[in-house]
Parts: sequence; C-alpha cells; structure tokens
Amino acid sequence: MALSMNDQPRAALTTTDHTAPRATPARRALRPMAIVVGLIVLVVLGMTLSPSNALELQYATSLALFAVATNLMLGFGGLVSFGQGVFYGVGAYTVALGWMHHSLSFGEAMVVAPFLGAAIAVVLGALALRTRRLYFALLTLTLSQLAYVIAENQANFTGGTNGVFGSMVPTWLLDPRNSFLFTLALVAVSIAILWKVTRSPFGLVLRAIRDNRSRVEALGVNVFAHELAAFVVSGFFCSVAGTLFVVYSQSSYPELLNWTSSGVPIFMAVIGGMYSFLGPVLGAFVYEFANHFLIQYTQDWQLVLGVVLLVIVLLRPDGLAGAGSAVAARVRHLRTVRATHDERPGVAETGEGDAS
Amino acid sequence: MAQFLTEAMGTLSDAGSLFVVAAGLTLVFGAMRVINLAHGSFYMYGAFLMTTFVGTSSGLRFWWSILLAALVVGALGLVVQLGVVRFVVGKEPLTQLVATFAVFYILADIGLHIWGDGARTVMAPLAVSSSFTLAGAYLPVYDLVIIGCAVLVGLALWLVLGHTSLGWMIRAAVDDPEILQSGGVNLRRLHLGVFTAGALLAALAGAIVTPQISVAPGMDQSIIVTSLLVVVIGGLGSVVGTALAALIIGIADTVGTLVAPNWAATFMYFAVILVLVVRPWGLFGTPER
Amino acid sequence: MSQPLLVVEGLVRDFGSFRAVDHVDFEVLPGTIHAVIGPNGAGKSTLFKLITGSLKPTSGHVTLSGESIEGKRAHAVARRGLVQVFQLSSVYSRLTVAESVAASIVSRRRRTLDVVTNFHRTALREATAILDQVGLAERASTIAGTLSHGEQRALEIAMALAIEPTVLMLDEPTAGMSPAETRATADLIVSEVRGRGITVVLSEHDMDVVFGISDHVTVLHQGQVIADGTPEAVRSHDQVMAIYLGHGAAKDGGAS
Ligand SMILES: Nc1ncnc2c1ncn2[C@@H]1O[C@H](COP(=O)(O)OP(=O)(O)OP(=O)(O)O)[C@@H](O)[C@H]1O
Ligand SMILES: [Mg+2]
Repeated sequence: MALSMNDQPRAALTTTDHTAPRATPARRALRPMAIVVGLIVLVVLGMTLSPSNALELQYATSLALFAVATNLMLGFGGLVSFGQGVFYGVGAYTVALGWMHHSLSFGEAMVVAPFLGAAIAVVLGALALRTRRLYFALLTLTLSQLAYVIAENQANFTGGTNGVFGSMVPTWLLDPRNSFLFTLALVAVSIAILWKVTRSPFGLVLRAIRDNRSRVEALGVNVFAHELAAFVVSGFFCSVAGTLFVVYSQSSYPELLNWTSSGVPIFMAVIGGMYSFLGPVLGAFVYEFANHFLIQYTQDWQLVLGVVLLVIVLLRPDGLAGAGSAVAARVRHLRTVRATHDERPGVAETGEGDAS
Repeated sequence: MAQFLTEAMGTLSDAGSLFVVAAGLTLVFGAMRVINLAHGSFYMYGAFLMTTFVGTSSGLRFWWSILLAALVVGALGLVVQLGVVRFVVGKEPLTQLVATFAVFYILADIGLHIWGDGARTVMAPLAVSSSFTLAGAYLPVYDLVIIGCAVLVGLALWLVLGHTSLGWMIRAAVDDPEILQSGGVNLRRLHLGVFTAGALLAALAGAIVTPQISVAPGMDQSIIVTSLLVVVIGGLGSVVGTALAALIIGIADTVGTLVAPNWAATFMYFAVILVLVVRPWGLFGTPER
Repeated sequence: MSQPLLVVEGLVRDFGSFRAVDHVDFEVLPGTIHAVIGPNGAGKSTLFKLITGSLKPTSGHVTLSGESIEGKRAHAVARRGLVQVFQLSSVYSRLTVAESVAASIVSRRRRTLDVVTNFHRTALREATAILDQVGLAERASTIAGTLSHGEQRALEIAMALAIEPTVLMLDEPTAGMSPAETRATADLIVSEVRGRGITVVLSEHDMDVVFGISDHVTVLHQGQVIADGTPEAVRSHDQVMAIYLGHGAAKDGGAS
C-alpha cells in the first residue's frame, strides 16, 4: 500500500509540501489543543449522557486503547497479528479469576494483568515471529483460538463457556461517572505512553522495518528483537484494555479471546486509518457506536460491517484518517497556491512522516 | 483391537472431510496466493443447502443434493471471486485477510436470513446409515463414504495438478505469471476457475458430513480455523502436505479425546505449534520472502 | 605508498555452471575513487555483492583494513565500515526523507531500542544537516516513496553517509539520471563523499563520469579483469577500446 509514484494528485496531497505552513507555531499548537478539547468533550459527554449511552462511551473509550495498542504492530510494525484478543482476554480474565478464586484484589489484578499479558507476549511472540507475513497472521490467529479453547474447556479454573461474572469491581467503580472517568484516565495515560513509544528512536526503526525489512537488517539492527519488543508492548496495553472490559461489564468470557475478537481491533484500525496514530481511536468510536445504534434497528450488523470493511479496504486503505488528511491537504494546498511563499519553516521540526 | 478399529475409522473419516475442505483452501492459495477466510462459509452453505435440498426425504435424492449443493456454492464462489477476491490478488496479506473476513461476515448474515439460527439435521439414505462388523467392531458404513470421497478428491487433484497442462498452469500461475500470459493463458479466467473449484470442494465437504453433524450457524467460524491449522501444518499450497496434515490433526484430536478429554480440543493446536517450531513454513511449504 | 584499504584476491562466483565473477583481483587505496567498469553483464553488480556480503563467494578473499571479511553477513560488513548503495534503489516507502536518514543515524549509534529519550529529535536534526549536503534539504519532510528517481538516488547516498562508512560502494549511482542529475551526482561524490575522506568504489556506465572523477579504474569483462590502472592508462588500453567500440556502449548509461 505504498504510495504509487505515478499517482500524481494523491502523491502531491500526501506529501507535506515544504511551502505549506504546517510547522508554524500556531499550527503546531493546534494538535495538542485539539486533543485537550477532545478530552474535555469526552468528559462532558460522559457526565451528561444518559447512563446507557455513557456506558457505551466508556466501552468505546476502552476499545480505542485496544485498537491503538494493536496498531502499534499493524500500522507501525507492519505485523498483522490476529491474536491480540489473547492479551485482551488475559487482561479481563486476570481481574475476573483473581476475584473468583479470591487470589487477587481488584487493585492487584489491575497491576498484574498488563505484566502477565506482556510475559505471555514474550512467549507467543518468540514463537510467532519465527514466521513472517501471512504465516505470522495465521499463526497468531491459531494462538488466539487456542487461548479460546483453553478458556472454554478448563471450566474448573475459568468458569467454562459461560465465563465469569459478578461483582468483581469495587463499589466506587459501580457508579457510572467514576467508572467512566477511571476508564478515560487509564486510556489517556496508556495512549500517551504509546504515543511516546512511536515518537522514539524505537518507533522510527519499527516503521523503517515495516517499510523495508532487509534494509534495516543490513544496518546491523536485530529486526527480530524489535518486532518482539513491539509485540510485548502491544500485549501489555491490550491487556490494560482487557481489564477495562471488566470495569465495563463485570464479566469475562471465552469469546473475548477468539479469532473474531482478535479481528475487531484490526477492523477499527483499518476503518480509522492505521498509518495515523490516532486513526484507530476514531475507528474504535465509529465502530462501536455504529454497532450500538445499528443493533437497535436491524439485525444485519455483520452485513453492514462487512460492506464497510470491503469499501474501505478496497478503495481507501488508509482509512478515515487518510481520507480526512487528504481533504485537509487539498484545502491547504489551494490556500497556499494563492498565498505567497513568504515563510520557510524549520526543516528539522517538520521531518516527520505518517503517524500524526 | 475393536476399539482401535472404531477410533481409526472415525479418525480417518474426520481427516477425510477435513482434507476436502482444506484442499480447497490450499488450492486457491497455491494458484492465487490468497488465503480466503470466507472458505468456511462455503462449507457452511454446502451443509445448509443440503438440509434444504434433502428436506425430509430419503433415498437417492440425498446424492443429488450433494451435487447440487456443491454446484450452487461453486456459483457463489464465482460471484465472490468476481466481486471481491480478484481485486485483492497480489495485495498485502492484511488487505486480503480483511477483505475475505468481510465476505465471511456478509455470508454469515445472509445465511442467518435464509436458514435462521436453529440447528438442522440430515438423514443419510438407509443403504449407508447402517453399520458393519469387522474384528468385533461396529463400524459405520457412512464413514467409508466420506473416506472414499476424500480419496477420490485426493486422486483427482493429484492427477490434475501433477499430470495435466491445467495443473502446470495452476502451479505456474504464481511463479511465472508472465510466461503463462505470454503463452496466451488468461490468468483471470484461471483464477476464476480455481476459486470456483475451491468453493466447490468446501461445499462438497460441508454437504457430505451433514448426516454426522448438526448443521448450525457458527460452523463457518470453527471449520475455517481447523482448515487453517491443516494448511499451515501441511505448508500453504501443498496438496500432499494438506492430506498429511489432515491426518495429523485427526489423530491429534482422537488421541486427545482418549488421553485427556479436558484438553482434547487443544491437542491439534499443540500439533501446529510443534510442527512450526521445527519447520516455520509447514511440512511441505516454501519460506516466504 | 600507503597500504591498500580494500584488497580483493582471486574472487570467484558461480551461478550453476555460469561463472559470473572469475578470479578477480584488485586493491583500493584509502581516500581514492576507484571505478569498476565493464559492459552489461560483466559481473560488476555481482562483484559488489560479493564484497559487501549480500552474496557468498564461491572462492577468494576480501580484506578490509587487514581484516578478512569474505563470507561475513552484510550487516557485519556494514558495522566494519563498508557500506553499499544499491543499483536499484529501495527507499523506505512511507518514511519522510529526514526520517530515512535518521534511521541510519539511530542504528549507527545503537539507539534503536531507545523509547525514553529525545534522541529521535537529535537524529532528525543531524539528518537535516546531511540532507543539506546532498541537496535534499528542501525535501526533508517529503515521503521518500514519492521522490523522483534522481532524488531517491541522492537519498540513498545520504542514508549511506549517515552510517559514516570508511568505504562506500556505489553501484551505478547515475543510472537512469538526466545529464544534469548525473553531473550533480558526480560533484556530490567528489565533494561530499571523498571530501569527507570516504573511500569510494563505484561502477558506472557513463565514461565522462568515470574518467572525470576516478583515481583508478578496473575493467571487467565476462567476469575477468582485463585492465587495471590509472584512467589514462586504461583509456589507451587496446582491448578496452575494442570491447567498448565493439559494443558501442560507451555512453549508454541506462539502468540495466
Ligand atoms: N542470481 C543470479 N543467478 C544467475 N545468474 C546471475 C545472477 N545474478 C547475476 N547473474 C548473471 O551474472 C552476470 C553478471 O551480472 P551482473 O549483474 O553482475 O552484471 P553487471 O556488470 O552489473 O551488469 P549491468 O551493467 O547490466 O548492471 C550476468 O550474466 C547475469 O545474468
Ligand atoms: Mg549491475
């Protein structure tokens, strides 16, 4: 899905023209401001919406973390893992089983879960990353299904097909507002850390591996170690998202782990735009709210989802974020055509590609 | 001995139907380098169409229904290839997987509209629903039907792929498409034919197993996973590998049930992991770039 | 006379029964520009790959600063300071130009697993300085995959410079370039590459470039060295003249 070179209009749009006033201080301040405004809007919505809609917003927020964490592999590492449901499920089950077996308090489980997810990611990643591309996708898919089968069959430990449900979160979290704020805070912090990871030298090398693996290998970089690191970080935060599922539903069940669940964060990333850092957040909200509202009117959610995915993957593989920035770039382009080139921005500060 | 025969027969019959589904999947991959996640949907449609066509009747109609179900799903495969899959040939794995996953969702939804969400069953004709005794074991005749069918499919694939010019073209479709096209072969038509054949095989397997299972929504989702296990063990694109892998999966499942019923369902996954640790590209596969 | 930096002795590579490189010997002196020329299919690219470790030699020796490097993997050779720019460019398709160079800097400094510091910024700034030298500063924030062919070749050189090599192997650096781009690239090699004290080994079809900038020329034909010496000596070599006139290819300069 590289940009094709003879696709002139597209190329011109996705390219950051150095004459475009992108790096002016005002414009650079715009993004953090947009994020702050977005957070405030979310908080206000969470406090004022009807309880059922607020709960839905809370769920979508936690899914946004699931999608962003998965996209660290997908959009940044070029690794298609159909097994992230494993880590999501590990997060949820750690809280649920800790409660059921009286072995972990909620607080302890919230801390243990991500590290457990990361530890499992080390093992599964070391195994799955022996393979590449399609084989990697299929192997992670089967690992996801294996986790599902284990959760379903080890009924004594996991509660079996029905899963675990009950009052496994502290009472203060049963209040919808507290629960929403707790989720939002955890998601915001996690996403901020993931942002930092993608903006680091590691994130840069990860994207370089995605674009041209053998070239990075020739630089003397241990590509496997970097892919494994991405897998582990992703597993860590997918598990955090999984714990938030319990906060949302007070339950955990085997279907969280299977291959169709593992597909969900991929769909969100694809819909929102996997080459942009916040694209998957957009994808998560669109996906979850479409699901929530469509289910009230029609039984054909699967049909709608299928058609939407087809349209996006065939026509707009960079998702909604890609479509949005193309429009924005066109507007900016038209404006700068008229404006004079009176300003030359600092080059180093603009030297960043995808993932904005 | 009797128990061994019973288990062996059951294993062979399971492996047989699994081979037929997975052969369709691997055939398509071999010619087009596409893994079709909607392949299990063709299997489910084959089974459901079978329930529709057979209805409550018994006798000869059963056999005609198998053929008809396979043909109808073959036509469906044609539509899916023309409408979706041909656009993703040669694209990134992600694009292919998401596109065929989307088809999986769409077909699942349509299937629910046609057949509802209840389970259905089909009776095999009396002639093949009895048992016979061998060395003290009661063995279902219908197992022989499935095994025979799998052997026929295996032989046919072996003959066509290994000993005809069509087989040569299918194998060359991935490695030297330019040579093929310069030789006047219409690659798109070849893809269309292969994809239709793949769908047909999935439906054939789905139709033929109906007397032994309960036909219900969700079978698309589970069979695709098992078929993926098979083709991944066997090596993507290899029919021989698929046959061997179907046996391995069948045996893993049977042994699992006997040894540790609680863990039975996981045995086939561990078989996959074991094989891939030793050979990351499957038994008969070739490494990807 | 100074010690040779790179020594190639009896290098052979067979593809099946076909011998692409046939007992090649030559020496490269530090700080020079050493050209390897020869008609299409002479074995230049193969020879380069043997030296850089992306192909294994059938037999023979390669020594870099007295240390044997034949048979070593490409990244091990790169760490010892010998870096190749490929004939077919393969830039990072979705990174920006500055990021592409920064990736080289980050890996040279072994900071690739760093997720904490702001080294990313430092690397980008350093990258911009290098881009300035190869004339790509204006394109720093362009997506590398959308650059023109000539610009991609310049970016390739920038990425190689960022590794701070001692020997830079350039396989047809001007392939497919316009005459203006070719001249700019030749200037770049002289001023920015050799100017930094980097030793250059290049293969080239454009004879103006070869005789204009190189200190030493090795002529390859059907895998064998048929002439080796100063540009003047090689230019007046009978067999070389015959081969080039015979092929009429002295200035085809096209990508092959
Ligand atoms: N991987 C390979 N397998 C078989 N033959 C090869 C391989 N690589 C190169 N050759 C052959 O070796 C010979 C030398 O090729 P090489 O690419 O080294 O030539 P070159 O001098 O770089 O030519 P050009 O000027 O066209 O780039 C050619 O005849 C080529 O066909
Ligand atoms: Mg060459």
